[in-house]
Amino acid sequence: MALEIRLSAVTVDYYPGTAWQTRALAGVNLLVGENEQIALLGPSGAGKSTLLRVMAGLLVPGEGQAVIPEGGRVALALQEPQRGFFAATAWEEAAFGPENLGLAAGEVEERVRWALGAVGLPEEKWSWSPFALASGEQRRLALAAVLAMRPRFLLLDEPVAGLDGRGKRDLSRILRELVEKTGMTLVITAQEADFLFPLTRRVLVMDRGVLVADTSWGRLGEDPAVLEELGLELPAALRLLYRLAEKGAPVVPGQESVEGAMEEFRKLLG
Amino acid sequence: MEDVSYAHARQRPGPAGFGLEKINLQVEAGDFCGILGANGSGKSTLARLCSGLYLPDSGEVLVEGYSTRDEQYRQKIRQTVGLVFQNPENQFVAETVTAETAFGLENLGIPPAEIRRRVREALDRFDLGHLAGTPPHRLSGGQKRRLSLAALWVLRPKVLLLDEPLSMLDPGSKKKIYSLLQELRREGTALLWFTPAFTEVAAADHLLVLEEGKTAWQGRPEQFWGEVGKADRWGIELPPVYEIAAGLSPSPPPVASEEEFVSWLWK
Repeated sequence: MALEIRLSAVTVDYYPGTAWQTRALAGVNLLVGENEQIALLGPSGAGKSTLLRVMAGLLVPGEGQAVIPEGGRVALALQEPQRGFFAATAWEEAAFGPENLGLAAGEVEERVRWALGAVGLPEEKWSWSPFALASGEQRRLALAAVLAMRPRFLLLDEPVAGLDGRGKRDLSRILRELVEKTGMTLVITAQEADFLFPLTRRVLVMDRGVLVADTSWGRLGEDPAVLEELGLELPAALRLLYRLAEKGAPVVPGQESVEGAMEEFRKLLG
Repeated sequence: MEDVSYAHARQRPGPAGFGLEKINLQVEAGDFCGILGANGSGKSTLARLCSGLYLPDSGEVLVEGYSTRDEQYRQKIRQTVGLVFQNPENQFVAETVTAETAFGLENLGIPPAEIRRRVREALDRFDLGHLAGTPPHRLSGGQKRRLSLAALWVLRPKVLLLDEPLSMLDPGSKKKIYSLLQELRREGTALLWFTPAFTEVAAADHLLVLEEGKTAWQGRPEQFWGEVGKADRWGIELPPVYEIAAGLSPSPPPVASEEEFVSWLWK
């Protein structure tokens, strides 16, 4: 049976019944299936992190229903994941999740080896303390610890915050390879649409706890007001295509993918 | 006048990252200086040295001629140089936006009427008036960043040390904070801006690239394009429009803005 995450009329309040009661999600309906790559956009405080927590089963909605695949199929990588390190070595850190699933030792070892390899953590550092790793390597280890669960749905909350140029490029490559090899579903939040555009097709936009758009990159540009009002931007490649089209250049601006956008630019290079 | 720093700090135990070796840097009133480098290249260490929070092992950091080593000038230096932390929450101490903004002034023994005047002015300027009674931790990312700037600006610093001031912000907040900072610069506040993103400091007067705690390159932003091939090694994030141009042409033009890109492809 195909796996899916299904949210029906999900509402979440923080501090319910107190003066600080805040509605974080208001009546969210969402269906996410297998092998989907999804960008989750919205200004800070829009409810993106809360939505990911509900999708991961870490937060039970106050109202509505969240139906989520069980058994480690959904994994959430939090902001600043390195804060959660506790194991003595990088290997043990990555092995903790699969061990908790009650898998045989051989299966655990195979998964950890695969996950540490997939994120490109050099093998000589697998025996290091997680705290001795450089910050970029700690990020990789945190991702490996999540991947070792072999999730079918990987939810990433602001994975590039605080990463430098090299760190962002490396993470982008790792995620693209994972999708190609495993057909994993990704749901990613980031302030930078440029990071999300090459990795995702479907786009969700949130504002004050409400899902205001469930669309694609190509269609998102047709209604620029949706993003502008929220202080958000299209990826640079799409903004450039719209600007070129305004100036009369013969390009089709509403492209769904980076590859499509690059083809349009190439038309002008002749 | 903010003057000269020459710091030489050796690697210390602690989080991964490099110490600094023989860094020379001079910043004057109204200067905009960009310090570029990867995570762990020594940017935050340099910012802490400039503010006197760390002291150099050798060499001197001089602020208006006073060494940060000299204890009798420490208070004066702290007033002259304001350090804006990467995570604004790390500097909040008070219960409300108003109290946070007044905190530094109260510590200086300034008369209450003057404190009230400066706080009101700062809340207006940084668009926080409607949030005066809100606890800092309940603010959005952009609001927190504006509060951290307001709380420093009331002290009238002559130099702002900005440790990745736009990280974690949405594009709208980024634009707002950027233009507020440029306004302060036009009024004579010097900006030392630490970031891995070239776009943020493309309008700087001067750039310095840090690599593993050493000065890898210095120059003006337009000269940086001659070094663009090393950006990856330095961990520097190039403008997205340049990355697109690089995907289209083996010898891309130095385009940093959308206007430049558009006029490259379509006359």
